[in-house]
Amino acid sequence: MNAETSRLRDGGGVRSMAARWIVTGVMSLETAAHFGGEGDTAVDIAVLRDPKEGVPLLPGTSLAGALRGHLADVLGGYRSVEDEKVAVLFGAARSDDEGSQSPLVVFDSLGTLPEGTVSEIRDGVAIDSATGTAEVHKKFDFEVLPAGTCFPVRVELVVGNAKKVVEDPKKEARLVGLLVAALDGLTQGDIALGMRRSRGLGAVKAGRWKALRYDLTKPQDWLAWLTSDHQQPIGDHVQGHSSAAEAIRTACPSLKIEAFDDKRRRLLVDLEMEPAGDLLVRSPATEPEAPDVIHLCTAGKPVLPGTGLAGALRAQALRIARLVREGHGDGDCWVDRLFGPRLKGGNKDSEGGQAAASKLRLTESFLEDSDVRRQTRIAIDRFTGGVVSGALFEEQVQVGGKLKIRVELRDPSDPEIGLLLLLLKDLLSGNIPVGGTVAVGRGVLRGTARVRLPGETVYEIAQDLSVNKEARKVFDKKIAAFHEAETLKAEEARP
Amino acid sequence: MCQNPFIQIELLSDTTFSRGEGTAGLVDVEVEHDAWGLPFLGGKAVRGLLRDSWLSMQEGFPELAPSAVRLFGPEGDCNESSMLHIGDAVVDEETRRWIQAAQTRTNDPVSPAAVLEALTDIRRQTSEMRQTGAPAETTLRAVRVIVRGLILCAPLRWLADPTPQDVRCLCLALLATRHAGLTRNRGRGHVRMTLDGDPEKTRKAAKGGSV
Repeated sequence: MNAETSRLRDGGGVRSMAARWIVTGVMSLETAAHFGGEGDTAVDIAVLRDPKEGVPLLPGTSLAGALRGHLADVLGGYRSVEDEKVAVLFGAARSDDEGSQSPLVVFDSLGTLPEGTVSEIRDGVAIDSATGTAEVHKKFDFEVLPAGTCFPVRVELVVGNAKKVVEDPKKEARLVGLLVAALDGLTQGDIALGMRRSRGLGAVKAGRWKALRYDLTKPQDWLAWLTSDHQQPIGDHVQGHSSAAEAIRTACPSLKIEAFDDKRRRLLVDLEMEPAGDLLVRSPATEPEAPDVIHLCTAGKPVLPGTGLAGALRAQALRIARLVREGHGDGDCWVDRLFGPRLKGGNKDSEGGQAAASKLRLTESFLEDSDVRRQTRIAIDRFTGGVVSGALFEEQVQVGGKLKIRVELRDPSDPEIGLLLLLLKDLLSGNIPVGGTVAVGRGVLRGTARVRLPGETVYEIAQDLSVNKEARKVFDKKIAAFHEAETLKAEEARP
Repeated sequence: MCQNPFIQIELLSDTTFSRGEGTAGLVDVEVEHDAWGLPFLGGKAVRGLLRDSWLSMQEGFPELAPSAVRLFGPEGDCNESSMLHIGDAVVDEETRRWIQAAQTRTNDPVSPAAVLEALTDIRRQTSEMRQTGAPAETTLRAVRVIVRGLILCAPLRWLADPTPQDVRCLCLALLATRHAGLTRNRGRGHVRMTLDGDPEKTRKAAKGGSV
């Protein structure tokens, strides 16, 4: 630094830059999603929109938060204390007044809906497990973006401290490695965004990754970055890649990106299910000629929402847990641990504890190859045996088809796995009907499962619930752990 | 229109040029705005942004160091020895006159609050607690943002005739300043700064061409 430049330097020091990475990609919604907003709209909860053009908006704050959470999960495990490396990429945590600013810039993203689609309205209601009917004051509706909505992703990484980076290129490799680990969450579909993501909403996958690196130790690269377009910094001539890591390697082959061990422990169950008969998840029809009730669709395809499936599973889990844990009296606590505690009266203080997200995550599943059937129903007057006037209605149900459902249990203990296995047994054997009008025989599912326990061991469960000898031994052990677990205290119901 | 020469600041994303306080009952963080309800960015803040950008890039352009000192002034300068004076970045003069006329007319005058509301939006955000996945307590914030697309102009006054190097130094700092305001690393405050509102002219000057 010469005399002239040092005259400019002030007490805050100078943030010198060694390189600037620009990484872009395209993220599309695998399922419907709700990125929260509010406004004077017809629905209870509207999606956040760009105030200028009215298109869906995904704020950089939300995306950065999701990426940060994913990186912390990978480096330290689910719900672990955040690893200090996370702050190197994402800046100081909220409570850290001494920390530094993030070198990563995450841009706001404006969404584009698939052609011919509009935003959708979902109904939400809580079902009382004792009566099987809707709870009072728990009915609401919210707006969702349809599956297929695309959001461009753009992040820029400033590699600071030029002198140290030039002396030790591993510093940049480590920083870029952290970025790759975070962005991999979008590529692999491990990150969900927005509301109700533990129930299948907001699943995303990203691709068409492009990367550019400007070496800011060279004046010509400084000029190249400075004169680049503010809004489209990477031109169409740059080739897209399926992962951010690949795009970054192509942009700078000499950089040896540091890899990190994945510390996440999770149980994954991939279910292949078929409705044994009809399936109906009620949704109001929008066309004038349509039946009174149709099956819920997103982007024109019928779906089984994770919310409905989770509700049915929770009700059955309560029955199982109360029976199995009768001697301990902690059945409800085990269900709360898995599904998240329910807040009675909408006030957490009434429960005396903290709200917590569910450890169990379910996908929203598309119903493939199903047929549509219209059915007319009418109520019969039990006294006269005649029809009830004005009670004629039409339903449009889905018949047949296939569903692929993924169930994920994060950081599971053996007793929790045992409870989930008991639930799976009931689900696969058709004892947990899902959706609406189950009282008239709808919503029965049957199928097979692939269970991947933490540690990558995979076991198959056939349609007749048969499993191999090793799986039986392992499953029995987990179920026995649920039977024999120590009595849970109320406060242990929350993680 | 803005008088020449000037710095044009185009907001490419929603932006919060904060005034460091909220409006009770409405937002926790308010944007800087004048008595007419028009958002602005103080000239001192513009200078600070340009100076910060230059400090980060100065080693790439050592030949422009004397110009940088003339433009941005030396550290702790109390004599205002800088040859460049930067005014507040405000909306263009014609719009200002329309707004002032609308607010001072006798029939149905427009209020400053309505002007501010028309040019801004309110964003709400909260943090999540890592251990539970639930929203963290006392982290819900309402922040006002200036809606993207607004253009602000900051008048420039050269106290001496600038050399081509001085103009180049300024243009390089303008092109390097792409983020401003609160939460600028998280999507808000993406800006495009240009000399006289002409991106091509600014790029050309940054490369060392005459303007």
